[in-house]
Amino acid sequence: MRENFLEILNKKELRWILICLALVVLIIFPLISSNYWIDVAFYLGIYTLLGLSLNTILGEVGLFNLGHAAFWATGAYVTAILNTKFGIPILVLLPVSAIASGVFAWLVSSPIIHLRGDYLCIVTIALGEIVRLALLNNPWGITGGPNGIPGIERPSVGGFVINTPTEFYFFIWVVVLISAIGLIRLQRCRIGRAWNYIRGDELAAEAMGVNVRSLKLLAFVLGAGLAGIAGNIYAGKMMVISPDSFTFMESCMLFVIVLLGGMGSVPGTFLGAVVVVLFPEIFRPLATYRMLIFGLAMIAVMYLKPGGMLPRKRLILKSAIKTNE
Amino acid sequence: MAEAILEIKHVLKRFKGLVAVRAFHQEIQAGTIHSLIGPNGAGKTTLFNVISGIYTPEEGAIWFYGEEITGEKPHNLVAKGIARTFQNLRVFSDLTCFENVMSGQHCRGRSGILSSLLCLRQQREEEKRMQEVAENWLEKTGLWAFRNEHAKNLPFGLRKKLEIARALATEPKLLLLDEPTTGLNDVEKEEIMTFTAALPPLGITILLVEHNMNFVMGLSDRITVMDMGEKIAEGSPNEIYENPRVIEAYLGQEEAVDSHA
Repeated sequence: MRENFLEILNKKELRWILICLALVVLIIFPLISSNYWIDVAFYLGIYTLLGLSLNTILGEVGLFNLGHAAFWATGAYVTAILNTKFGIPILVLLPVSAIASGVFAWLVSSPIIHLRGDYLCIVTIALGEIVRLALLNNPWGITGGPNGIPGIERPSVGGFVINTPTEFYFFIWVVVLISAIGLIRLQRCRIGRAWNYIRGDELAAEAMGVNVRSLKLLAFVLGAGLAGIAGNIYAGKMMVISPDSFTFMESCMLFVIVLLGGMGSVPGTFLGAVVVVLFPEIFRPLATYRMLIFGLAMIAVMYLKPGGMLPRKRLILKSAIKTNE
Repeated sequence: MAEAILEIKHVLKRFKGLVAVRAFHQEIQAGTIHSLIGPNGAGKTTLFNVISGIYTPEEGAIWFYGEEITGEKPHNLVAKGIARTFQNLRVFSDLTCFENVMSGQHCRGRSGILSSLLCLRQQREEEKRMQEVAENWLEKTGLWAFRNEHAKNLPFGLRKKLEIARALATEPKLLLLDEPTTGLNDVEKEEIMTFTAALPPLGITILLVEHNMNFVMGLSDRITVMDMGEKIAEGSPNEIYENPRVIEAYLGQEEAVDSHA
């Protein structure tokens, strides 16, 4: 009976049912969970958003960016500095930090965008470390050095302050879902396809009329902008930020999220984030062994499914506008 | 017919000490099939890379429809109407055939991030138009049945056709084919030949590099012969066939021909 039921549903309907189910779970989850798990789910949201932003750069265009935490940090610090020094509300700073991160990405990636594969990788590692060390050394006394910046306000709109774990939970997940829908839209248009052409073969893409340089920069700016938004929300939640949060390890984790989920796959990024964030939480009782198991699990996944857990599905062209097949 | 679509004016391309193309001068007439032949290492592919903007020549200039295009970026040249295929296949292997062919239409689109995110009408109409062009070439190259196959899963011959379909989807005025029949069997060669012959009536001028002499002699309106980076002969297939310098370049010195005979 159940098999018949599944047969009747075609793949598209099944997908919609899964999406609706996921949405229901997302909405019900905070009503039945403890604050601890709601906070875990909030961080899952932050990492999903960061994963999506890195997926635009690494997954869609194939640019090996191992310094993504730098853009996240830019968003968080721009928010923190402008809020604590000038009292600008956090939500007003949301677009500001996105733009700041984007502009920063444009400035630093312009001279290195032509580098390929491993070379770009090394330079972005350096970029991530430069940003972290710069923040640590408190330039012009604005970043607070190793102690970071305390006293960041909560985001508020009108009289309503986003304060409890549940409120933050909904805040981040609404942003994540809007971003995901936008990124899926982009995958199905001229820009998104061009990104994939660049990932496939840069020279052929250029020879087919794709402006490789500007589209790579666009991906960097867009990805960094999303990371800036994640930084803004993170700063509003933590109320104090320090360079410790934006280490090379974070960039690696984001890299793992994208690779594990599947390059260029939005559902894959969601799943990758779930695995990377929840795995260490669930296996907390195993203490230090959990990272060992995590590492082994990662190797196993990459060995068994080199394309990632949920590889990107290519769009299927239905039959014919006009052909007589 | 007499209009020159492409003028290559005294082009010189050097790689460190090696001169790959020297003082190369050539006009390509609109609506013709023009072949470029010569022994390996003669500089044919280098010349293709210069025309398609991948290399910038040290000396000389390239003119396309009475406009200088020397040093233009490849993607701008595609928009102007120069498309190419590659000698060693460069299809996007992780993408479907349809997506591969759609890549040609990229340069004919204008919509950016905002119109795509907002699903504007202009973007949707553009998308539909691009799709129609891509479908048309998929059908004409006989790849329609494989439209949803990943390019990496196609046999060699079909990948070769896919490259041509992709280049044609850019709606070119000049198509550069780099060894279109290398590695194909006789049936496939015949197909490519018939297909190529049908392109000039559609307003597409063809410049091709090829080693298969049946193909070159049967198809070309004009032939240019290169050796050691220089042009050594130009003419109709018959003229080339009888040109002593060409025979020398292919078979060696005259003594060698004599001793062979």
